[in-house]
Amino acid sequence: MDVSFIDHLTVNELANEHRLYLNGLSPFSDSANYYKTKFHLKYFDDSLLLLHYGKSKILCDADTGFLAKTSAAFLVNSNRQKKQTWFNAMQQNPANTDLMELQNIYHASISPNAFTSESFPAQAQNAYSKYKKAYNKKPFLAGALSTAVPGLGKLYAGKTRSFIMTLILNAAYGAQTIESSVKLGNTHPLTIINAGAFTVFYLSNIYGSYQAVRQLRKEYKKQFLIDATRFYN
Amino acid sequence: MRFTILIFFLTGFIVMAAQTTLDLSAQISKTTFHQHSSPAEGKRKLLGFKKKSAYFNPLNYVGAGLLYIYQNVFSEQIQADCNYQTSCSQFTKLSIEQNGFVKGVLGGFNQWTECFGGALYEHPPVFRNNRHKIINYPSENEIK
Repeated sequence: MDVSFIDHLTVNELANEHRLYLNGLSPFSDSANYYKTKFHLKYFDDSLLLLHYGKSKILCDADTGFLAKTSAAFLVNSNRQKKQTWFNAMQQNPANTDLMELQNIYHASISPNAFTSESFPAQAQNAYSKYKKAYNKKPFLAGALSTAVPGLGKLYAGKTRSFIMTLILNAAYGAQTIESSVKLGNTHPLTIINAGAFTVFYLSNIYGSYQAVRQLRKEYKKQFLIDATRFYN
Repeated sequence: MRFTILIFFLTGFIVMAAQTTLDLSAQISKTTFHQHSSPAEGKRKLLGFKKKSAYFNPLNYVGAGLLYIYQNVFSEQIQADCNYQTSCSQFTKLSIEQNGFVKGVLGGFNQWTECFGGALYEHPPVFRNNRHKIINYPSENEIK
């Protein structure tokens, strides 16, 4: 195996030639599988990476830099099952500091209440605090608050500007409905249109507040993982 | 009855005429400004339903029809520019496809309520694209 040639292919990002060369190597060789694992880390393919990692575990585990980079790549991987497989495999490893921290980040992304923001790199602390805050908010409470006062659930979720807009919009439609009802009567088409519009906006504000909590939780989780990953790359 | 049929065909004619004009304008501007143009958005299609049961809900057809007319006639005429990567009407359409009529419509109206400049700062930076629009997903399961 020509290691300097593999390095050349890696540095110059010659993916097809790189793949062809590695495919020509013996599938039973540990070192060939190690380089295949590195290839699938560079051109990220989680399934093949895990497959070749299993075949060259001893060599891969000895390369702590590679393990840290792979863990960082798996942190932002969208496939939850494969992410879990990787970090379960890492738990059995005699880990170095970086790897331990990356494992903590993974566990914090699942249960943020078990950690404090000081456990993470400075650039990920802000996103972590926001994620933790969003994680502890209740979607049903947001919905209930918005039922009482339109938009209040959005304020609870952390969307102050949306709260103001929703409140103004709902108040305007509500006032318009009342005005047309008083002046034109309940059966007048304009009253019916206004009441319909108000109902749709009012219901959408309740649903939107419920969704806002759930959505922001996921968004801040992603932001936290990306910020943390940037530190290790 | 005659009047209804007349209105129906007249609306169809207006829609087709408006569409032809828009296609011509699009072609002219594409030829003239092709060097400066940003990647074009995919053609907006009629609402499709993922669940078989959705085909039996007449409300879905009303929603699909209204959104189709809005997107292909009104939206382009009023030069609508949304703060979101997926526009409100497209979001509603996709949301109806994925979550059903009621949730889809409510989700769409909610996005409309939150469609203002300041909304950009209510989302973490990873959910803002390079054109300063909010990256939004019709289904929260898509956020991974």
